[in-house]
Amino acid sequence: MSANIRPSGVFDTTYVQDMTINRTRFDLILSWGFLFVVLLIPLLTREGPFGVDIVPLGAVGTVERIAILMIAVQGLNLLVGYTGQVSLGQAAFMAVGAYSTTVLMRQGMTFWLALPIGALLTGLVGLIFGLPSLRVKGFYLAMATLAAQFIIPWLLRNPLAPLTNGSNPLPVPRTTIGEFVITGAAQYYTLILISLAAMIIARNIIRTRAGRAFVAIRDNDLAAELLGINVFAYKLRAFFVCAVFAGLAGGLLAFESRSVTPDQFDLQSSIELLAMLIIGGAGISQAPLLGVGFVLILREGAIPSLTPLLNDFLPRLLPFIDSVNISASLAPALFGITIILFLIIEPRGLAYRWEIFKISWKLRPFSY
Amino acid sequence: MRVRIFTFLLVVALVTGLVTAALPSGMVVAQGITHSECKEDLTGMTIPFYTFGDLSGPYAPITQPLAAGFSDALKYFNGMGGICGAQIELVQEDSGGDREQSLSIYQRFSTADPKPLLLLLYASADSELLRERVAEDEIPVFLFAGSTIGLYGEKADTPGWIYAGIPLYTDQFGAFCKWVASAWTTDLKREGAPVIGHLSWEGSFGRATETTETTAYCKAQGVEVVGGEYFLPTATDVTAQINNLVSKGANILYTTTLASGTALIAKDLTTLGLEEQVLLAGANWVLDSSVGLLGQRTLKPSGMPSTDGVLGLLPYTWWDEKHPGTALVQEQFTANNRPPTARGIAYLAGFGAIDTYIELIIQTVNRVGKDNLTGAEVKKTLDGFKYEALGGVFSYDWTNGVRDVRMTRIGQLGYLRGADGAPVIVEVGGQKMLVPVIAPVTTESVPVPDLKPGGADVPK
Repeated sequence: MSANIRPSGVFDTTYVQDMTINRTRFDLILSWGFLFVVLLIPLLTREGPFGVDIVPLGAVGTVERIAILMIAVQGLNLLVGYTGQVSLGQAAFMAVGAYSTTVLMRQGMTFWLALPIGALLTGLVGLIFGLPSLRVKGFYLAMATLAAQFIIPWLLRNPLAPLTNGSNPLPVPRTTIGEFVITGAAQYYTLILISLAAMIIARNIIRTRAGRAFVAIRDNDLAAELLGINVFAYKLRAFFVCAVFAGLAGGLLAFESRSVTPDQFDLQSSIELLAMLIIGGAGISQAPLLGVGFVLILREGAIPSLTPLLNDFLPRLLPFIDSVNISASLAPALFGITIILFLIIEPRGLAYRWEIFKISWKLRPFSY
Repeated sequence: MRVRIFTFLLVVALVTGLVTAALPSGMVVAQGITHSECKEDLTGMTIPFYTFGDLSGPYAPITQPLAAGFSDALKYFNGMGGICGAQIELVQEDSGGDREQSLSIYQRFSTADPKPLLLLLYASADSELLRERVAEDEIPVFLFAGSTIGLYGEKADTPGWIYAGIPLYTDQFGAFCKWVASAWTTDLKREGAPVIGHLSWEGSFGRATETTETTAYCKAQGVEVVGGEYFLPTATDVTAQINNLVSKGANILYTTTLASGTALIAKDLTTLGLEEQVLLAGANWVLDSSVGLLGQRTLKPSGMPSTDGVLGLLPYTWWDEKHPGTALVQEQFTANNRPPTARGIAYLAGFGAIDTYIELIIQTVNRVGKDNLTGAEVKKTLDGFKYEALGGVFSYDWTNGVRDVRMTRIGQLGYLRGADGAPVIVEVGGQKMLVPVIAPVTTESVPVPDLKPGGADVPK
């Protein structure tokens, strides 16, 4: 959106300019600057090569999880934000990716091969659950995709138990390149690079014929059909791509956590992924980064640091409530209140607010 | 004269020696509770105690008082000098029962500075999920759960860095089978043979009980196990599962659930009119006030709550038993104005865990010195650790590669009755309720069978 707002008289003069992702120098500096900061994080911890303790070691793990979940939410963004289809089964698709990658690795396949195969397999599973999208939309489609959230964990726990360990965690073999075990900083950079690649692919998908078809279906599927777009085929493609992204995220989650269990991929996780997208701003390419970043930093950084303070303070402020209940419900209550406040203040998502901010900056001093 | 003086001094020396020998060696922190003598003074230090788990998810009804237990125990023990003068600081987080949250909290804790010397967990799934990672990070875990995989690995042959405060769920089930076989016609006054249907939560915790080894062991005791049914912690009806098991001949439902899970089964047994025909029993967590309180929502035809009479394993001393340790906990509970609803296993376990932590750190510091205090050294202490926490409320013996508790009793959930035999009704926060009590059915603790894969008591 903001990329199209430029000072009067500035036009694209070549196709390369027209197709570039970062349309202005400001965007370019911002993108590379952000990437540079992200790459710098492990180096600034106490275990980094400089031995400085500027960034807490725990932040490395948080950024790793943001990178992984960002891929799953980006898949959801393509399906929900750009194509207008609803899915409540994204965590279940992640489970398919996580388990297929792990099982293949346990059979001796290298992670680098198991990961894309797992993602493609998840894409095929996504196609199956996308079939109802031909007949139903909106709330009814959400209910249809919800089936994935029940069927897939059941399959993992029962008929596939000899392969998946059933309800018990399935250990993930260590990932190596030759003799080198990928752990610590190497794991961090691997996750960041794969996540970055996924983001670039997603952004480019939107700029292709398929991406424009997705947007046309979202805006008005009848009109899209009249324009000659095969709505069903494109809806299925959107489900496939969404599931491939989920499978990729699932495989990376297995790689990072080194153990997978069906409990990691429950309905609550699917709803959280959808919430992250809404917070980020569905239908905007930066939404996954902002939504996942906001939720994880809130949950893993802000709330844990606020909780001890509030645990001391609130029982004195609210003596009529049992202090046991206060301390136990503090974290979910804080999380819930923040999300509600956020949705009241900025219902169109963080990415939308960011775009407004960038436009205001470009048009200064005439931001009105 | 000299002989008299010498005799007098000899008698004084002997008496002094005898008195000293009769006194417990170490520091007495309360009547019956003794910690080892400190060889080093740690005054000025702060030693963190790390714990995380579900405080707001499906485990919440049982775990919420845990925070209160920790808080009151820290207040008390820090007031008594902490760990050789060092103050203990609680670092607690809520995972909400979400495994992803558990992983992220663990990651934060394991990279904290200073690194945790010990981590307290209370979910089987967390122990299984983190088993390899805690070993790599050299962080020993004190676990209030009994997962064989978490403690001994996938093949049950590698004791790891996790030490449990209760018996394995498989072994609890075996102990129950053994007891029920002997008590079926005598104490329980039932006819026919005991037949168990296993009805538990889906997940690592619920699935940790029913194995080929436990089924074979129970069969060898004369107790048939007709299979298992599993339901999600969010389920609100289990009548179909109960009917399935009863139609297979089950006259006992054994459950590896807690709080709302056990209360749900008791409610549906009453709804189906099977409360007299089918006995309800379960792992140690079914014997908790949370079950007794939640069970009051449904009454049996007798007018008593649906959970009245639930049987379970009792590997520790309960609040209602006369014991210096429970007396101390009760005293602190009252002094801190805790509500009666918090008087459950979580509060007791929280208190016991802090007491155990203090002894563990003292022994480690005495062995290696305060400057060498690490998780790896704490593990070395744990490998030879025998301790009666709170003076014997909890008994731990983790020597010889054992990672769990090997003794238990059988107990029963009931409700406090007055002198006239009628249930006592109290009012808490404007609500009338009965007071759950837990009493041992067998007075002596007996060893639990070893039913790990390849365990000593598994029938060949």
